Amino acid sequence: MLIARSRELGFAGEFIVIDSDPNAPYDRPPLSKQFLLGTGPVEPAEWWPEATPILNAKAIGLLTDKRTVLTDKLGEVAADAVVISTGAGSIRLPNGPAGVLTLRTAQDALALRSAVDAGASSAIIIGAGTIGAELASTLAQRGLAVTVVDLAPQPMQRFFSGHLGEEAKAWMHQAGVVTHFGVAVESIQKTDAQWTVRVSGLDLHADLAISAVGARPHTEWLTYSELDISNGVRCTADGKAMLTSGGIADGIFAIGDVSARQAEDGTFRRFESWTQAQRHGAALAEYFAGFDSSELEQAPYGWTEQFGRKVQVHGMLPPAGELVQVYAAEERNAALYRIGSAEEDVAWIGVNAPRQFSRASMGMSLLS
Amino acid sequence: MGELLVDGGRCQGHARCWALAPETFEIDEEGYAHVIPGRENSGDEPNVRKAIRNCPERAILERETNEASEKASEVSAS
Repeated sequence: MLIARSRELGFAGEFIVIDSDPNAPYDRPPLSKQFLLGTGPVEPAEWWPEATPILNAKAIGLLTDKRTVLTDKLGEVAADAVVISTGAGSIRLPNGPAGVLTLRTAQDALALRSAVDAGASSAIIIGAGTIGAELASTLAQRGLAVTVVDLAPQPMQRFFSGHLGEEAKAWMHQAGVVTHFGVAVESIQKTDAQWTVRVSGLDLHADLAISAVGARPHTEWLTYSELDISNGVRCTADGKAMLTSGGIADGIFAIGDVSARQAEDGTFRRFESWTQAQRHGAALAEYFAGFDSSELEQAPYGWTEQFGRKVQVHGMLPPAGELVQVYAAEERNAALYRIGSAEEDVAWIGVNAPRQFSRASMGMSLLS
Repeated sequence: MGELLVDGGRCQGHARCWALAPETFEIDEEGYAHVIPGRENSGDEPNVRKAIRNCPERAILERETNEASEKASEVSAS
């Protein structure tokens, strides 16, 4: 998005893109859904600016004051500005044995699909965030017996800020997914061809064990950079990277999941969100081009698709806010919820209700 | 800058384009979008650029005129 928007604004300079993922560029959202249901390859990224090649190498260090990236295969790469966009990677379960599957990259998705294609008939998914829940939906749709376990009391605890727990559980149960919430994983073992996952004294068995416990920003390569990487790359609200000394690193920026941006209340927040990553890129392009950007003023937007439901969230959901259902159409499992009453703090959750959701998030009446 | 077109095969009904540029996009009850007839050449407008950037499925395309009309008839025929 940074490159596309820069070109749109007439920037003619050179972009050097370094990525160690051999499948780049591609979109991640379909990997837990359409890709696992299909047979085709990872969808090629038609949107990638053709004239910008991706150099396959791994960034292993940053000489911050020289704006120079150290790589494993290409040596040192210097530029006028460095944009850190290394995203986040799956958290590995502590002491998890080899062979536990996960889902983040195209290669992960391919490994998972191969295991299902090879005849796996059951799966235990550890972690019921949006990715775990989407996987549960997709694998149940493919006919596997699916069990979901999570320490949290409900599915998608973070995505919903603690709301809609009973509803999201019901979607799982209606699809035949077995759930265990509020339980800790005590051990994961592979015996013969089966996995045994012990949660709170209970042994669960399945052909596949899948970890979906969350993601951690890819900052290990920045250990000696003097950038503040206490939780992602700490940045100003508009993406200028900050040093451990508290100053701003000249010419170094961070966008997407890897960046922890300063919010209005002074705290630093990471968004694991496709939409937010796009906006970071577009806003930075506008900054480089000398425009005032309004990209980052838009309310957060997130979505998930699972169990025949398209779920959309507009705004920041206050955990303590009261959830009010303002629209429902049961015959198509549709509902719209409002949270918060003060005009500017209103957030919305739509389930199979894109028209009502869009009208509401635009501040329009729900009629029509 | 070619003609605007929503690729019916990619659109998943987020309705973001309609929220950001209702003067160019319209959606059906399920959220699936199309370009309002007569607005195919509004691709330069800031709201429309924003809609294109915010489409999670990257379903809003800009095509050269001939290709666009062929593609549009394909979509409506399917």
